[in-house]
Amino acid sequence: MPTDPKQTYADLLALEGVTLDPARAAGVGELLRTQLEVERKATQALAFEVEPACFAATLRDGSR
Amino acid sequence: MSDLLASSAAELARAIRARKTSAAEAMQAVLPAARKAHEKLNCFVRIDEEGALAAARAADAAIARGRAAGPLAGVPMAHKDMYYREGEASSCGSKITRDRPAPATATALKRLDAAGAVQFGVLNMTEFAYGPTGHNYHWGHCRNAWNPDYITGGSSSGAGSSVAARANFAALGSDTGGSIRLPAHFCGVAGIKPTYGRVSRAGAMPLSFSMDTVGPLARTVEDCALMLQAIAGQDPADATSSALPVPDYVAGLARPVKGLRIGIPASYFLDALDPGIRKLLEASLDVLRSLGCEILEVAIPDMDAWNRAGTAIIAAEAAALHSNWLRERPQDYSDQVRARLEIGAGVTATQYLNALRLRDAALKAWLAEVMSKVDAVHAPVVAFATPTIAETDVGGGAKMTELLALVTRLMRPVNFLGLPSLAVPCGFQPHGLPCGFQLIGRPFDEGLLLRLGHAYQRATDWHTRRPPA
Repeated sequence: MPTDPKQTYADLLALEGVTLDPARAAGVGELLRTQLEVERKATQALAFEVEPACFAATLRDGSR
Repeated sequence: MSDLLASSAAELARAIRARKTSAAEAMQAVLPAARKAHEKLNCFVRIDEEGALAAARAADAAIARGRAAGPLAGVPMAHKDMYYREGEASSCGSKITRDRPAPATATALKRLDAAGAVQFGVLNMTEFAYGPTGHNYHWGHCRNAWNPDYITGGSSSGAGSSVAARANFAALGSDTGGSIRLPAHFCGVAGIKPTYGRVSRAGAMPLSFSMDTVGPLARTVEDCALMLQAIAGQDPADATSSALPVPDYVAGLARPVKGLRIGIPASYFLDALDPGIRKLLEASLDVLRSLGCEILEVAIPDMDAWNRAGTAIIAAEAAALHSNWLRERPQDYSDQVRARLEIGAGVTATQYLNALRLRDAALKAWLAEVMSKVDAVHAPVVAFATPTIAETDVGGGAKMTELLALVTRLMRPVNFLGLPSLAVPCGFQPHGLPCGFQLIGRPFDEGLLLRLGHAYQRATDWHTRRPPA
């Protein structure tokens, strides 16, 4: 069944208790769609085992 | 000293220690300048004249009694209004927290107090530090000291504006997506965003706990070194603060820069660069070359995805922190901040976590592909000529996302990577507004950036220029 993305987004936020300004619903949905697409491409090569905590160690080990 | 307001924080501290002037004299000079600057630039939220004068006199009395004067002894400072002082309200640029007393004093403030600095006020900022232009719809927009029609950059807008106007010697700012470096560039002052974890965030208003950093804006790179020296180091109150030892940044300024390798990014940072800014950046590279630095082009990884991942992390974490107020008091946010928080509330858990997972691989790639070849990367702070306040007054409307992405494009990947970056003024754009460059370094290599920036300032005089009265 086709759904209206801006309504879906507003419904999602409503579940979080946040009332989305209706004037912004369409734009926000589109923005998140683009964002997700770029990130999907960027993260598809990530190793299965990588977890966020690795970053702090790399930062420390990257110092001189 | 004949013109106290012309001196840097370092010069003033030296003069106070040598008893050539006093903390009270410095405070008496800066308070009227601050009042006057505020009338024109709207850069302060509060100035505590009585308290500041009493504190300055107490500092003088302590020095007279022979108490060891700290490295920032008697230097008047005002800070971004998001550093908590126990019992006092920090507005954080918002309507929501303006009357909420802070439970404890920020570690960065405690450390500046211990170094002898005297706080005389708090500064305007973007609402909840969530905006890069310097607009504030609750406290009024902060204005650029070089031309009040133009933006200051944000979110440390009052810090950039007041320091540039010689109405403040130095200020604490914060940088989650450019909020120190942008005002430094737009206002013509120096500012350093330290490595994530180098400076404690305890008692500073959070925006994005994975990306927030605390750092100074000041007239000179030497002042930034003094400030960073005072505030850096591990803090039990901030679990993310690093245990790595803090080098002597101030002593390190005297070390030579000859032979250091500076990279010019072959892509991303120089895309669509305004010709006026390009010319100034090239001139700054000529200066660094004349100091004996080796300038070489360096290929860099694709930063667009990192920029977007950084945006997702900030958006999601900000929305989480603000979730109660967003539910209960949405009308108390400006349109722009509310719109951005609404976007963050829609970032999925998978998207957020994958963005965090990407950070490690991105940093490893940056270290291997870039920092193995150069000691620092030289890049613009923004790619376009400084716009006016009116031109960027987009609120939460349709143009908002595009504008904000443009302003933060060269900033946010650096926050995503957690790296240190120093912004240094390097001249004036054709329409008279200042311009800066950023130097991006290895993790925890703030000392090298400060050394390079200080050497550049010893060879140039941009940091001594004063805006029109």
